[in-house]
Amino acid sequence: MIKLNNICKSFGEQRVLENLSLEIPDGGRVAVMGRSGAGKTTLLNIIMGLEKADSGEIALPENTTVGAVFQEDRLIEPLDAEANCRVVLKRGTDVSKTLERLGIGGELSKKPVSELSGGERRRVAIARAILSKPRLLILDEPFKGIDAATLPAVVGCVSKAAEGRTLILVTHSEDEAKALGCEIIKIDK
Amino acid sequence: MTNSTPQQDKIKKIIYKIAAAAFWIAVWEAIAVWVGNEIIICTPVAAFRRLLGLIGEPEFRSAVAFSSLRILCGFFSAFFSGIALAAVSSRFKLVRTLLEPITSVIKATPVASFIILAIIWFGSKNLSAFISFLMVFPVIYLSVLEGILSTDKKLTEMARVFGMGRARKLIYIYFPQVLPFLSSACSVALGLSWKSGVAAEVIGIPSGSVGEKLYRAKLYLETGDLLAWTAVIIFVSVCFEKLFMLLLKLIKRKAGVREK
Repeated sequence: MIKLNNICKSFGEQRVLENLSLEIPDGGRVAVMGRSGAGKTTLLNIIMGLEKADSGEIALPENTTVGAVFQEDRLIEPLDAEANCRVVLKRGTDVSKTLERLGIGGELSKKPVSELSGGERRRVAIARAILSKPRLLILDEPFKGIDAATLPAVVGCVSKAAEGRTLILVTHSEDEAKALGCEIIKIDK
Repeated sequence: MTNSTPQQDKIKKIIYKIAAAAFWIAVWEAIAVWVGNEIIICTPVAAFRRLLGLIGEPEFRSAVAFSSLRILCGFFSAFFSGIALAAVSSRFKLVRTLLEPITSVIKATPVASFIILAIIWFGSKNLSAFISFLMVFPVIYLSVLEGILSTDKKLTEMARVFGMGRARKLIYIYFPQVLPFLSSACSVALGLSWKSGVAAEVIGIPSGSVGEKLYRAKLYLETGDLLAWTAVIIFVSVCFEKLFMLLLKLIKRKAGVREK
């Protein structure tokens, strides 16, 4: 169970999160929604340990492994799609099948990610996150930039990979949240 | 109008370089002929003849080996300690703060002051190693530190979230970031190590060194010897620089770092 209790966070004078409390059971799926600047990404950063809350408590199950799709792709530019996935995985993990399922198979997977389109790069970032088989999957607007034709397959792939894992999704689209079977939580100050 | 191929461009570049060198050798020849005094300036042909003579001498190889060994020893000590200390400094601000005045003092102090101090402290035998270490260290240390500190924070965060191991972080995140900084620092530092190392030998006159040969050439007003030894230093220094930079280029390619 992930427990957040009265989390507050400010950046200078600007209060981003105010007494936010949240409980997500193991294997639960939650979609955090809210207007831009409502603190959705800040909340994810606090859960991932990248930012410290000003006050409040956060409790994660022991030895929680995290896989994330960040707001930006955060890929290692000179490396190809396969290598970008492999750098965070155990040796010998098969990455090609997942990449192929996400439409980054064959020649495309051997190109430096700097040469891929925005949507392709996003799919590499998704592949990296789901291949790491984490206990907690954090997705910050993961489908941003992915074209409509490929979107259903990508969402399906993510939904399948998230089975048995806790999922926190940040999105502006209720359809995406519903497609992944998430409980919607709206945060607004 | 036809566009030239990269091969043709390369040949053109080489021809221009040779032409520029030939022009300056011609200027040198003209000045030497005009002065007409071998003690003040000898002709390029005389210097080249002296160089061939030097190569045949038994002392030549031992002098080149003596100086090269010490200068390279100083360079590599500075290279490795500069990288190691930059890594430590990037992590611990205290170390960075402690090293800051030292690197600033080394950079600002005239090399001659260090040479004289080193002669007083350690004698002259290994002087060139110490001086080239001293000149190279701040260049490598500061560049590598800058490279580490400018590493993309978003990538280090990604590595942290995914629990990437230290070795992988080093190879895939820090290495590609630091290598361009290291490579440009090395191209400066390599020349610097030879210049400062030989200058130290000229002042300290360690027996059997290239610096000693230069000093003797000055003492006996043998301009031909002076120019021939200078050519030897330039040749050895450039050869080592090219070799080392090629090695770094190969490592950069292997690490996937693109040439700018």
